[in-house]
Amino acid sequence: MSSGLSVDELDGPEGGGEAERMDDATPKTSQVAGRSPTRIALSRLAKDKVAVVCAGILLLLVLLAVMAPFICDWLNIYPDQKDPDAPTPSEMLETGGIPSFGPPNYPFTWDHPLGIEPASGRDNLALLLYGLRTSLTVAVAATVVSVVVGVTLGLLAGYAKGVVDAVLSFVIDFFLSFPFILGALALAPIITSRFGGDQDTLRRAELYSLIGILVLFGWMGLARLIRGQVLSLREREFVQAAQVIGVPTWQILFKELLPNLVAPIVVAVSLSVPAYVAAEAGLSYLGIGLTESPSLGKTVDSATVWFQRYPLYLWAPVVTIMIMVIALNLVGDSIRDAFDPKTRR
Amino acid sequence: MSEHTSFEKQVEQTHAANVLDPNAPAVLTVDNLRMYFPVRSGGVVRRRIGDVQAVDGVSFEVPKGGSLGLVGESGCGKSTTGRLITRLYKPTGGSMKFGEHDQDLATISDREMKPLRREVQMIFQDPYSSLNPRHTVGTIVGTPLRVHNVVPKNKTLSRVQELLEVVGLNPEHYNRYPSEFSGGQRQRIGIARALALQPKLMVADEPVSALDVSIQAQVINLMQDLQREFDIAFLFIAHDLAIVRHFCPEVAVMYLGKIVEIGDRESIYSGAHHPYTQALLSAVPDIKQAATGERRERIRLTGDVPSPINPPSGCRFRTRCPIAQEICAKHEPPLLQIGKRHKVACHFPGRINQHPSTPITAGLLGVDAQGSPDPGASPSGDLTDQPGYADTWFDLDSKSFGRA
Repeated sequence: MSSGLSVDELDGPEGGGEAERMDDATPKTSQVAGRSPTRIALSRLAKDKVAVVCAGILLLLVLLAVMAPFICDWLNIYPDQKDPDAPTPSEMLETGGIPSFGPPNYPFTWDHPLGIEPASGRDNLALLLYGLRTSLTVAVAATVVSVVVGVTLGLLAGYAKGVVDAVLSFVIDFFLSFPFILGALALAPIITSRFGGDQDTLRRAELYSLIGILVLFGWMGLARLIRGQVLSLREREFVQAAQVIGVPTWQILFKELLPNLVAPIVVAVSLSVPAYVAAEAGLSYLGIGLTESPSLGKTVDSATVWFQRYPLYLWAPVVTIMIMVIALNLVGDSIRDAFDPKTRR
Repeated sequence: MSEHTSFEKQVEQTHAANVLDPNAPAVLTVDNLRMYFPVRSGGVVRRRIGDVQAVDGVSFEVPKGGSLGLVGESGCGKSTTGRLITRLYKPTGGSMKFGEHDQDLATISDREMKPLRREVQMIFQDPYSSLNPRHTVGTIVGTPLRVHNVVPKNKTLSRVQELLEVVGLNPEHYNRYPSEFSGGQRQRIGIARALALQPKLMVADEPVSALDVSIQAQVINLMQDLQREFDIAFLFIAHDLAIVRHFCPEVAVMYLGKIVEIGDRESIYSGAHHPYTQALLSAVPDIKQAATGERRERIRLTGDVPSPINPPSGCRFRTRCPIAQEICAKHEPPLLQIGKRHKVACHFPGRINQHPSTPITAGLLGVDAQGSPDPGASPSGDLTDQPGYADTWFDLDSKSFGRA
């Protein structure tokens, strides 16, 4: 680790007397910027080959998701038949819902690289790209909201002590012990019946409620972690120094304590994104996640019955989810290692 | 301010021991300060089952621009006293009158305390945990300036650089992180931060204990320079008696939450009258003696410090005291003034091996030599412990109050 500082520059003033220190002060004009622990971790991360490759894959997936509408336009494929330009199902399908182009019955065609969805006649690549988009939106939104909630409540519980801590800790334990799948199963039909009338409202309601459910059952881990960290940090003398100076409490929480919690937060974020991706796919597969918007999990669900005759239909979303979750997890692991100097491989 | 020239001047200056100014007015008057930490039982209903009597009735004065040393074993309450003065804890009782307006730091609200935080600052013991590792030096030293709006925002950086120069650091290093500095340099950063608000009173909580000996001298000299230049009063908490002797013209010795002996440097270091102070002083290694090979009599204290949750009755030191008698278990010795600037809390005060055989306090407390009530004697009225020193004191030779 080369920090850009020479050793004698650090020890020089201390070893010599005070007169020497004064000499040292005057001629020096070049500024040597300090390196924050975060920047040291980032430079360590850049040297981790696995992390770089996985980050590249993730970047590609994110770009694909962001550019989905342009890619679909360019390839002239459509994720649904509502679009007036989209081909009707009868143009795409033979009797029995078998696609009239591409696999399984016809050879590969560039018009539909991943084939056509049986029974609906939609393009599989378009579905995959939009599914990726949904997946990442849900996972990122759920992560951001649960991090904000978890960090804030964790900071408060750890710093406040006493009654506030006791109440917050109880709430954390309560939600941790609540079964997640059961909660999701109970909420899904309520939302569907409440917003069932309009397809567009239902789609948005489903999206928000899915994010809401993921956050509701996802913030406690981080809150608990942060609370524990704050309990030990608050006894450090720099917090007392801030109190003696008279720094307002919110500034102590967010300016003194929060920067010291970057490492656990980054690690928690990098590991919770893949968990949310998998959770979204899982819930949609079970039919209690998203029903109206394209979703990788939903595609997996409808593809399982076609697996014997049309394996590509199932493989495409499954492999995508797998690559995305593995890449996110490996990046998360590397970030954790980069922030912890003790576990260098 | 002209720190630059004066600092250079001071570098050439020798660092003699600080001298006492007996006429300086008190900047801080602490009277009967108490801090009890509740001890709670486990389980759902956490009942209060006792108190840790960390500080129990401490009184002293810190003179303006002077320094008072607070020494004692670990866990005797000296750090707690420092933290009470900076209001990191709210005291259970007592008063701490500060400044010209005699504001009581013990009772004012946190909001009223905020302007006073400019006046009372603290230097911490561990330079490795007292600086936020995620902030640059510029942020650390600039925080007090920003919080109290001491200087306009665009002047903060230049003021920070000035402060770094005052404490002998390279002002160009403001954008470095604490991890890039050595222990001594970090302590200088901590001092610069405390200095930023130009306080009148500085609580130094073992400021050099975590540094190695060669660096200790530099930091002590720096604090002496700053004290002289900015007229800062120091409450100097330490357990190194040699450093306290150099830095503090006045010393208070604490044991288990109470002051057992307080006085000027002479009275404590060459005329200690309390057996605990004598034991502390005899435990200091002496280089001269090691060179001559001569053996010095050493008072060895046996046993552990008793629990501050349930301190011994009477005199708190009696369980380890070599000269304890029956009266010590029955009555707490008053902190009696026995010299011009010397107070001691012992029933048998005296120089080593010259402790009196009968309690000199018995008559004052209205009891006999064994501590049982004596119908013939009446308790003396003027035993209440006041901060500071009175003009009359109890003369040990004539066993009566009077002037020397």
